[in-house]
Parts: sequence; structure tokens; C-alpha cells
Amino acid sequence: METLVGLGDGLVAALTPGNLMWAFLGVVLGTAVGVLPGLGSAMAVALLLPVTFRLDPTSAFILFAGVYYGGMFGGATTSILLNTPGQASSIATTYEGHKMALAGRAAQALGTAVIGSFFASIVGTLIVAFFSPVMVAFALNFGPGEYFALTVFSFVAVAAVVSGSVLRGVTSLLIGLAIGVVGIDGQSGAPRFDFGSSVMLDGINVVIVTVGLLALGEVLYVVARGKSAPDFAAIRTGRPWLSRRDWKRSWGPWLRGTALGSTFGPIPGSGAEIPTFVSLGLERKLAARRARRTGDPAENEFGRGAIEGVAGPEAANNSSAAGTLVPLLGLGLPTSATAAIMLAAFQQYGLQPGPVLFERNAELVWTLLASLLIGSVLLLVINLPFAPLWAKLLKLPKPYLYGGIALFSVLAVYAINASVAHLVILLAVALLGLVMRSFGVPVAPALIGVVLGPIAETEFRRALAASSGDPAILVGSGISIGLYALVVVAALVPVIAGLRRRAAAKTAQTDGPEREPVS
Amino acid sequence: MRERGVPLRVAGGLCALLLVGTALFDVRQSAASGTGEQEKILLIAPAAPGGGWDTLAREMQNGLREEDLRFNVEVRNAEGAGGTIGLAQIANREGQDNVLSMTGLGMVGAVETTGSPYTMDDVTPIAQLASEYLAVVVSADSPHETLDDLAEDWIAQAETLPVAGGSMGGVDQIFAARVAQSMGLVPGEINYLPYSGGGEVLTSLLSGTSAVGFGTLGDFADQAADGGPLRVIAVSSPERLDGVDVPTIIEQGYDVEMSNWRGVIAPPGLSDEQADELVALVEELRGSPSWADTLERNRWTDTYQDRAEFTAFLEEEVALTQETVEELGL
Repeated sequence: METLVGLGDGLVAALTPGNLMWAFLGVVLGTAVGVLPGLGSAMAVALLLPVTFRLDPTSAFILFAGVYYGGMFGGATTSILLNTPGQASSIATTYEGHKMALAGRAAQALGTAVIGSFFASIVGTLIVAFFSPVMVAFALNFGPGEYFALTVFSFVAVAAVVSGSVLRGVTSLLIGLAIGVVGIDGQSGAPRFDFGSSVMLDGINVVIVTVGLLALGEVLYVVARGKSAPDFAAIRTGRPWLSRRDWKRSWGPWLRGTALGSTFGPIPGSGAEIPTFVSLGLERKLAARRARRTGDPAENEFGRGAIEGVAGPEAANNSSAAGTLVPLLGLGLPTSATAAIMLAAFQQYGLQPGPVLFERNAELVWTLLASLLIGSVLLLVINLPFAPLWAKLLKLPKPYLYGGIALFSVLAVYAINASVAHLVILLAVALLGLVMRSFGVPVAPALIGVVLGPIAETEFRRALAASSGDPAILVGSGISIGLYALVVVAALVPVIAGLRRRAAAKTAQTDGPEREPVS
Repeated sequence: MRERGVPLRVAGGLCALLLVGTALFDVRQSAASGTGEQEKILLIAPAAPGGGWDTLAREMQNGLREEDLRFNVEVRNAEGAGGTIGLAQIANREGQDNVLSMTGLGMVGAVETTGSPYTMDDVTPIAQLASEYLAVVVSADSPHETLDDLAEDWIAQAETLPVAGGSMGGVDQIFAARVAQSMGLVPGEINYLPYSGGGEVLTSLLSGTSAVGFGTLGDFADQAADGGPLRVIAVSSPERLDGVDVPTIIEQGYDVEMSNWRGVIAPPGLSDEQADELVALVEELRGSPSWADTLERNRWTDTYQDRAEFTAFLEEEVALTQETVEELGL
């Protein structure tokens, strides 16, 4: 009850015409940096920080809230339309999102992404408001051992993305893991595969890998095939709004994605990528099961542009962004670069994040949370009408569209650090993407390897270092054992189901079409 | 035709809005000042947005504009390799007298650990600006109350006791190494768990993964306040700090005094005149009221040193760091 009163007061304080103007500026800026790959919300917030020295706390919070959430909304747009994720947390969206766009359902993909993001932001923010202390306590149970279990779980969860040839999928995953190894090894300080160049010491930026493999690699592939390339001019943009069926299929993934993001978001260091991949894997499994149960293959559109594969990950990355605020407010612990800069901003207004924050600075905290709610509403209002407009971008004649993607990719990578060396790396990665496509090696597993590989490695070695080499730390708590149990279940269920089906097929040798490949 | 126009118009409108929005601030800032120095100055922050060097660069940008010293101040992030990417950028701008790069102990350490082709000898030191002191922290329920308590346990389990701090070869590790050395331990043998920042060190302590943390005092001060989950057992300052009721390391009988200092460097090949002009600019900024706000806002200690003092200090720090890095075997 007290919480509701506090939130109400916060809303009253935040809802003034001036503050709405700041909120608007924030969401527009946030969406813009989210859309442009390479420009993260960290950069936008850092640029805005000096501006906020002159603002009163409420306006500053509203501005930051808009930028912070806007980045998560905007990331989906280029993922879906151009197959170019703006940030790592949008990678999972590209898999089904871009396929939907190619199938003429870009507007629906964007629509479900925006509404899902809105829903997740609101729910995520409310969860922060009501359950922050409980969640802090939970998050602190995550040591390196639990963390490693979480990454193993994510790997298994997204294994579903590796469809088709297992050998090719594993090859791709290994390529990704190899790219992830480049740079200074954080645990020992030894440079790995740097080829004597100081540019490589920090590893290859995830943005370069995603833009190179997905966007520029695709452009090169289309160009290389020349006249034999499929004619994309036939992309229809279709009906602009979500149909009833789309709604029906979206709400489940929204709910599940939000739950996943809210659970994993507060865990320090996990970032928004893990829940998006877990959500994608989960939706895929559920769709396959639905299709099996109803016997209607139309229930599982994964691989051809499934709306569930957009709705889930997009909800997950937004609620995870909200979840990041839990350790930030509850412990003064920033779990992302953006959060670190926001923390600096909070401190100059005398807001001291920490265990007693809600007692000591109640007014400011409620204003901040109310600002986040207002920002979410504004983002929905601004983004939803744009979905059909953005989708029309695909009507551009293909040579121009691909020319645009190429330009955009190069700009995005140059924006990271204004470094020509990065452009050379981009070109190399794009050529790798071309080769992989030519040999039918999927690029999705490589991206998963790049994102999850380094996290898994760091946590594994950190765990063993902390325990002085005793592997018992890896299964040292209920959380890790629980996660491994889920891994085993997830791995065994398809195998058992497959064996059963085979047994059934043997006894009654009539049901030929029922046979499905074991995923 | 019509349909192609719509997204273009929308995109154009968005761009315009963005430009107007950002321009508004520049206008506000320029309009408030009237006459002033129009010369452009470039500040290189050799780190990603949000880090200490980035903050220093943006604070300087803000201060130079606010005090009407320079209007056209650009901050450029050149992150990577512990700051040596930024060092390379400034070292390659021979003779340019309108560029400053942020520097600090982290860069000195990174030069040694990354095998950077450029060293602090390749640039012109300008001034030291501010420092942050370092702290030894434990979780509030830890049995360690003083450095002596810690030394006893640490010596008993020299190679196993997990201690946490920032990245490999960075300021925190150098600090941990010096504290260990002062206790008679071999720095290269301690079980140091590197994390990517103060925030992660905090979680590591609270989740019980590591027993002791080494890091910047400011990163932990809020959590160590009354009733907080952490306890600071020693600070690295030469004397006790105002408002921090914690004994120094020296006071507890261990010979470690160090700070995470930050300063500015200019490209090589400047004449004394050009260098002095930059020093004058920095000195003027440092004496201004807005800089006082900056120090307070970031909880930095004013450890200003002019060019001569800073050059001598830098030499000492480089020698000392080389020694520690060698001990660490990095």
C-alpha cells in the first residue's frame, strides 16, 4: 500500500509539461541510438551527463529513463528489417524477426516487438518497485559457480537454434568461440591471437561480429550470386497491424519473456543477452510441442519467421533492462555501462543507492520509477505508429537497399571507436560470413559462441581460481544443481521422445508421416 | 513514389529533431557567454564512456566551457588496451598544441603489461589533476577487522585466499601486490581474481566468492557506511582522510602509500612555450569554482602538480610500477 502511495506521488511529481518534454527528448534520442548499431545507450547517457548538471533531479531522471528504455525499444527495428542488430541484446530477435520481414510480415514483427517491449518495461519496472529487496538477496547468491551453470543452461537452451546439419552447426559455434577468445585474457593478462596488433588486445567487438556476419556478409553473398540471387523485389509489406491470431500467439511469449528477463536481469554481470537467448530457445521448444500435439505444422513457424521468436526475446531484453535497476538501486551496483553512468548522475543529486535507499531517498526513487513508466508509455505511443512506416523501407529496390545496408554497416562499426582497424576487421568478418554462407554453414551459432563463450570461460576459470582448483564449487549450491538438472531434462526429453516414437513406429509400422527428426 | 517518400520524410524529421535538440544546448551554452576563446581543443579519453578517464575528460569539457576558457571542446573516446590505444593516438600527434589526453596510474601500468610500443617518454606531461585513494575492503561479517588480522590469514593461505580487484595489470592489482608485499608475501603468488570494475568486486565479496577486495575507495564508500554490507579496513592515503573514519595502511604498520592519480598529457614535440600555455589553461580551470564542484561531485582529492612536479612524479611512478609489474610476473 505504501508502495502504491509512493508511486502515485512519484507520478504526480514527474507529470509536468516540462518533464514530458524531457521525456520525449529522451525517448527519441534513446530510440535513435538503439536503431543505430554501434551507438549504445551508454554513449548517449555519457553525452547527456553534463547537460543534467543544470537540470533538477526529476527532469534528469526522466531524460535518462527515456534514453535507457528507448535504446532497448530501438534495437529491434534494424534487427528485423535489415538483419543488423543494434546491440547484443537484439541478436536473438534477428533470427525470426528478419525471416518475418522477408515473408512480408515486417510490420507485425515490429508491432509485436514494440508492444512486447512496452508490456515488459511496465511489468519489469513494477517488479522493481515492489520486490527490489527480495531480488537483491537472490542476485547475491550468484557466485561464479552458479554463473557458469547459467551459461551452460543458456547454451543448451539456444541449441535449438542450431537446426539442420549438426556438424555445420558445431563448426559455426566453434568459429564463434574462437573469435571470442581473441584479445587479452582477463584472468591471466596474457594476449591471445592478437597478431601483434594493439587493436586486437581488447578482442573483437560483438557489434563488429554481428554486423559483419549478418549484414555485410549477407550483402556480399547476394552480390556474389549476382543474377542467380532470389528476387527480393517481391517482398510484400502486407497488412500493417497485428491480426487476432498474432495477438493470440504473442501474449504467451511476452509473459514468459518478461518473467525470464526479470529473473536474470538483476543478476550482476549477466547482461540482457542471456534471457533473450533462453526465451528464443524456450519459444521454439514450445512451438514444436504445440505442433506435435495438435498435429498442425502451421503451429510451428520457427525457421520461417515465427512471431513468438520476436515477441519473447524483445520482452526479455526490456524486462532485463528494468531488472538491472535492482542491483543499481538496492546495492549501488551498476551491472551495465549505462547503469554505471546513471549511478554517477544519481550521486550528484544526493541519491545514495544502497540498502537504505528506499528509506532515505524515497521521493527521488519513486520519481525515477514513475519516470520509467512514463517513458515506456511514450515509447509505445511514438514507436507503434512507426512500425508500418519502417516496414515500407523494405519496398526500396534491392540494389539501393543493399547499398544502404553496406553503408550503414560500415558507419556503425566506425562509430564504435572511429578506428580504421575496426573496418579492416569488419571486412574480414564479412568475408568469413560470405564463405560460411557459400558452404551452407549457419551463422547464428557463431554469434551465440561469440556472446556466451567468453562469459562461460571467465566464470569457469574464476570459479576454479576462487576454490583453488576444487571442482566441487561448480555444483556447490542449490541454484547450480537446479540449473544442471534443467539442462539434463532439456537434453533428455527430445531423446526419450524420439526413442518412444521410434518404438511406436516399430510396433505399428503404418504411421510414416508422423516421423519427425529429433531436434 | 508516395510510399517511398513517407519513411524518408519520417527519417528526415527524426534527424532534424535530434539535431535541434542537441543544438539547443550548444546554443544555450554559447549564448550565455558572449566573447571568449574560440580555439578548438580536443580531449582524448583513453577509455570507454563511463570510466574514470571519460569522466575526467567530460568534466574538463564542461568546466572549460562554463568558465569561458574554451568553447569548442571535443571529447573523443579511444578505448582499449588499458589506455595505451589512447596513448598511441596522442603520441602520434607530434607538435599539435591543442590536444590533451587523460592519463593516470592505470595507463602507466598498462604500458608495462601490454607491451605498448609507446611509453610515457613519448608524450609531454602537462599536469596532475586529481587523485582517488584506494581501499582494502571486506564484507561486513568478515572476521578481518584490521590489516594484522588479514595478514595472519593471508600468510597462512598465501596461494589460496581469493582476493578480488579490477582487471589484470590495472591499478587495483598493483595495489593488491604492494599490500601483499608489505606483508611479506610474494605478489606473483597471490590468488587474485580480476573483475571488470568496483561493482563486480562488491558482488564478489557479498556472494562470498572472495575474502578481500582491493579498489577505489569511492566505489565502496556508500556500501561501507553505517549498516552497509561492507567494511573498509584500510585506506592508501598518506594521512587519514576527512570524513573517513578508517586508519591508513601506514598507520597499521605496513609501508604502502599510493593513489589512483589522474592527469593530462600532450603530444610530443611541443616547445616549452606551447606546453606552458596548456599548463596555464589547465591551471586556470583547476582554480575555478566549477572545478571545485567537479572535485566534490566525484569525490576526488585535489592533488594538482604543475609540469615540472608532474614530470618528476611520473618518472618515479613509472619506475615503481615497473618494479611491481616485474614482481607480479605480468
